Amino acid sequence: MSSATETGLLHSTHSLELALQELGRWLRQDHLFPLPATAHAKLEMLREQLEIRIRQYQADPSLLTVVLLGGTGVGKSTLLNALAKSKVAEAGIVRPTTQRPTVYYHESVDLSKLDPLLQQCATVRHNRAELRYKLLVDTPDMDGNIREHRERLKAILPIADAVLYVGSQEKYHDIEAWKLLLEHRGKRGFAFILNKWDRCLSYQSERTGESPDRDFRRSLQHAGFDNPLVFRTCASQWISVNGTSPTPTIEDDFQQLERWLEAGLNERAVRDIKIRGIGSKIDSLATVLKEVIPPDWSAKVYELRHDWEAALREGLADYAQLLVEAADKHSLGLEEHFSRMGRGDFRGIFALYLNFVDYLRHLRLSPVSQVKNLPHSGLAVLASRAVVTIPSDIRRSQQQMLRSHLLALADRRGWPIETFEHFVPADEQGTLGEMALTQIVQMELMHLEQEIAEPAGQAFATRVLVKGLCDWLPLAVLGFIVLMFLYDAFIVWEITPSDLVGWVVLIALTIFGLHLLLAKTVPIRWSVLRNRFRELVEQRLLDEVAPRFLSRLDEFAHRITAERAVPVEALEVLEGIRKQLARSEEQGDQQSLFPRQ
Amino acid sequence: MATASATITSDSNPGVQYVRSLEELLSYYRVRGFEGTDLTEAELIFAVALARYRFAPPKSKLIDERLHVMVFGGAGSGKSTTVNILLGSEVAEVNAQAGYTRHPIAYFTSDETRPAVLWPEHLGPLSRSDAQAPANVDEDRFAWKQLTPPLSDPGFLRRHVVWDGPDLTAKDSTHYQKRVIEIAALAELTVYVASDERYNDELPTNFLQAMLSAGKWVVVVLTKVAEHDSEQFIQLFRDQVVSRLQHRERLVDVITIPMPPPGRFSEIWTDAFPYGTQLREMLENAGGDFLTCRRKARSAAAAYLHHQQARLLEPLRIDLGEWKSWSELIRNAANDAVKQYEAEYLSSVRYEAFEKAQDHILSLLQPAGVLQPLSQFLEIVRTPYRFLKSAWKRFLPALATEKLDEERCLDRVRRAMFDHLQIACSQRKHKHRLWKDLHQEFETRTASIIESSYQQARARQRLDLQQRTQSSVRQVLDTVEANSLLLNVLRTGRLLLDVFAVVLAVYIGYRTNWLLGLLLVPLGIGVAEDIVRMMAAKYMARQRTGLIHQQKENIRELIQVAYIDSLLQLPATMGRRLYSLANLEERLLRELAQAMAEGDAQA
Repeated sequence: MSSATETGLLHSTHSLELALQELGRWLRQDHLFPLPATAHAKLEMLREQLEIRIRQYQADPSLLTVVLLGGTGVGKSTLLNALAKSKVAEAGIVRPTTQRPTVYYHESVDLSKLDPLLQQCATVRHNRAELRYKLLVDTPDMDGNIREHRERLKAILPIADAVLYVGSQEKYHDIEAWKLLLEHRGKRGFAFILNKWDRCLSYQSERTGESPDRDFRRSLQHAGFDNPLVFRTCASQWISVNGTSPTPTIEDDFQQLERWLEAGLNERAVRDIKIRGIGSKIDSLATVLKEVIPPDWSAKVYELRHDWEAALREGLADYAQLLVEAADKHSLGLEEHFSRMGRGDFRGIFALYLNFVDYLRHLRLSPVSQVKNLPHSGLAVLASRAVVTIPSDIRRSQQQMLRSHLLALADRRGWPIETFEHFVPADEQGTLGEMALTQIVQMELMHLEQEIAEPAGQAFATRVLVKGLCDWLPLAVLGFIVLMFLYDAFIVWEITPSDLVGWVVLIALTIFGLHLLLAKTVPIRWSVLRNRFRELVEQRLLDEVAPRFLSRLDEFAHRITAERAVPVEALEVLEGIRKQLARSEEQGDQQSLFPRQ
Repeated sequence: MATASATITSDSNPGVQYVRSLEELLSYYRVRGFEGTDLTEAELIFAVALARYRFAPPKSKLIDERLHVMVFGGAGSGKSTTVNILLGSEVAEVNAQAGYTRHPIAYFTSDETRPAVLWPEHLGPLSRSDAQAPANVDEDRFAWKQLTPPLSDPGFLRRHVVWDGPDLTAKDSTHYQKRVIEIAALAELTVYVASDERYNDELPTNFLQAMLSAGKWVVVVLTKVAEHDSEQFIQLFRDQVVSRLQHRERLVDVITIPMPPPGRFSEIWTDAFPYGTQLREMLENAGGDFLTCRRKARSAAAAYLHHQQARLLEPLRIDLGEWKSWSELIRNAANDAVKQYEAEYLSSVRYEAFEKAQDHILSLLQPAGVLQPLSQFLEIVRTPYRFLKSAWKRFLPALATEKLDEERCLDRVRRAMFDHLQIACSQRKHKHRLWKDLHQEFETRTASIIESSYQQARARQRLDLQQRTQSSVRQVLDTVEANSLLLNVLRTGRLLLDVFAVVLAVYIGYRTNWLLGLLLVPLGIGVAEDIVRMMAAKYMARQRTGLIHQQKENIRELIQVAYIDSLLQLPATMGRRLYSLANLEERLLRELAQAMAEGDAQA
């Protein structure tokens, strides 16, 4: 490996470490775009494992951790003993034999710099220079009846750079070991050992079917190892007893295995394996990360805003209807108020007449609508009295309906409503509560009153004309009647009852006609005003209430964009480093230990 | 035996019912998946198969008349070798390739040679294969080999069927495990084969435990051990494995079959070694005579199934809980919808048909016959009053009440219900698979399902409501029209009111001023008519409440049909099934008890 790539890699590990730290903090945060618990756990695990890998690499880039993996009784410990040429691990017929992992290491390796997990293992020192850069770890089984064993094994596996998968005639593709192989292939180098080769050979002539080593190879090719490194060994015959050199009776690949471990796995090969390991960790981290990164939310806001605007227009119109109906209940009180405020002051006979009518009307008013004694705050009182009449459960169900509809629209657009629902206003008081509604009704009643009291343009001209007529016409008619009376009394000298009735009818018709004219031109009737009132209230709701909902969309999008920044950046760093590693992998020659991509 | 087998296949047999119920559960779990539970498909398959062979076995000679011996164990532990030892001859293929055997094979002797008499077509999911094929054919089938004497002990093979099966531990075993399970359930007697490598492995030990719990007798054969280690090995097995097993009383014995000396491997199943005789004797003596053995096996199976039931039903129980809260959610939402409809629409509904009927009744009250000209005259006199009244109304309109649109109101109500349900599902979607599926369906097809069933039901109902309104109006009219006495009394009353008004007006005019009298006559009869109209309206309103109540019931029914019924079918994966599985627990208990009683009665 060229030193240029070497320094490049070491340099970039720093930025990788920073990115991983950031990612760690991000993972611990609360998320608006929900992170599934499984993905969270997986990310956290991958992140930690990658950190461990990098730390290991930094501590000693050429030290290879080789873990022996296999079921009970396949001969892992015997194999380690044979490789170590001394009894370093317990081996026997009791199953399972190995209780806890054993680390076989060279004296020059600083144990305290190793992963804490390895430090907790049983350790055996050696001084064989040919195994200087290999850390051999014997592990407990994964298929026996003692469950803790597989937990211990699973804890150790992630820190392995390479795995020696040990199988026997019975167990070379047993389900538990195979599951682990499938899970870890590609993440670390795999070499395979078919131990107890003697058992495969014995009685061979008396059996049918394929030889286990060929069957094993085929299974491995199925699992993606095109050219797997398989050693057929009979480890027990290579154990040295009392220092004498062993005398093997069966031909096997044990010596090739030794040669491969000692010379084949040279410094360059070790680095290649380690870099491939780091590379695959980065790959899996990036894959999981890609799945959970929140999508770009800006387009989504646009879509939902469109939906919401329509929904709010409709929903708030329902509210306006509710408020108009509430005001309907006080229509007489409102009419009385408007009639006094709106028609202005009249004089003479018509004023007397109107006062009389007002008095009659007032008698008809229910006490709740009476605001005569409160001329200035009359509308405010009526507004609050009207809003109070809306039953609270109807108001609540209306609010619920609007909110549900908005949320359902968000749900249909793929918004994560479990977090988003906290953004949609739900409080009774703030947005559409009694207070807010009262205020809106009051404001718009006052608005209406102003429109009546201070007409503009043509309405103003009509108003002046009508007022003039009302003020002077009754007086003119009265004057005419007085003249007629004088004429009858002093010139004709006779006043008939029919004359009297005629005069009364005349004045009554005049006043009645004027009243009709007034009612037609000055809209103090609630049935005429309520449509205008509805328009005003609707507009006010749209202007004031709708933005309170719509602004939450932007806020949510804004927060999600911020939440997205960290993993996006981390992913960029990971992918940058991945490219560098891919270049150095191309130069390496350890492909046979890894499955094809 | 013949009578027993004749009754077994009938559908009314409680055993058959019990197996069917369990199969229903299995097929539900297969659709649902086993994630989130610690139950495995294998356990349920085993329960189904066990129930089948103990309470409703398929009819055939070998199933009826023989005890079945199953040899099981991990890959490469020497099952086929053990089978050969048991048979006393090299019949089963012995293979060094781990996981070679892929389907169960039965070995037996019999004078009967017709396959259709010997075997049923199927053993559960396994179909019978009569052709000779290698043991590694990877299909859901069972094979059989009829052996011909001479055999070292033909008597054993005339009373038993010996089964060799696939292993339990090789990497592909999950997909052929159910074949082993089927035969394991069939067998009354089993031989557990464990090698020096495997004897303390978890998977085979779990299977051993399952066999003991389910009431099988087990002989343990330890293989591949050196002869001088045999004693120590048996002790190790007893200490490490047997000591932790439950139902140990059915574990017959532990023996070893050591490695033969080199070159004598093919002699191991002959009389040169004592293992065959030893093994056969143990199996013959394990459960007693045929009938005792069968009876014990059946009651042990019943106890096992009874004990397992809670465990097998646990995932279903959880699903049913969620499903119940889903159905409650729907019902509550439906109730709210009806209430809202009532408040928004029904409280102020008007029926045009009723208004027309009211007019009709008023016209009926007009005097008929000789008095008709009089009433026509009164109508004419009334005209100015009417004119003034309508002018007044036109100038000063009363409070405008908007005409409510029922469809719009219903649409609002329905939308609110739909939104509410969708959100409720979305909020729970991480809690249980049911909600996740429901939520997904809300995004894809729920709306269209509901819409189509709603529109259909609504169209039907609108027609119905129209008819109902008409008939209810007709009923009102009929009570008045048909009853001539009542009609005449009413007509007379009305005429008297008019006459009284006229007389009063004329009297006032006579006493004061003739002009005033002239004005008062039309006013009087106008007011009189208003009084009559008001009374008629009161009467009609009373009749209407019945119709309103009916309409409310209609909407309730509409929502029941369009929403509750169709939503309860969701999600497509489990909704309908859950509906039919709601009372499975009681059903299973009852059927098991009945099956057991039936079996005892036959024995």
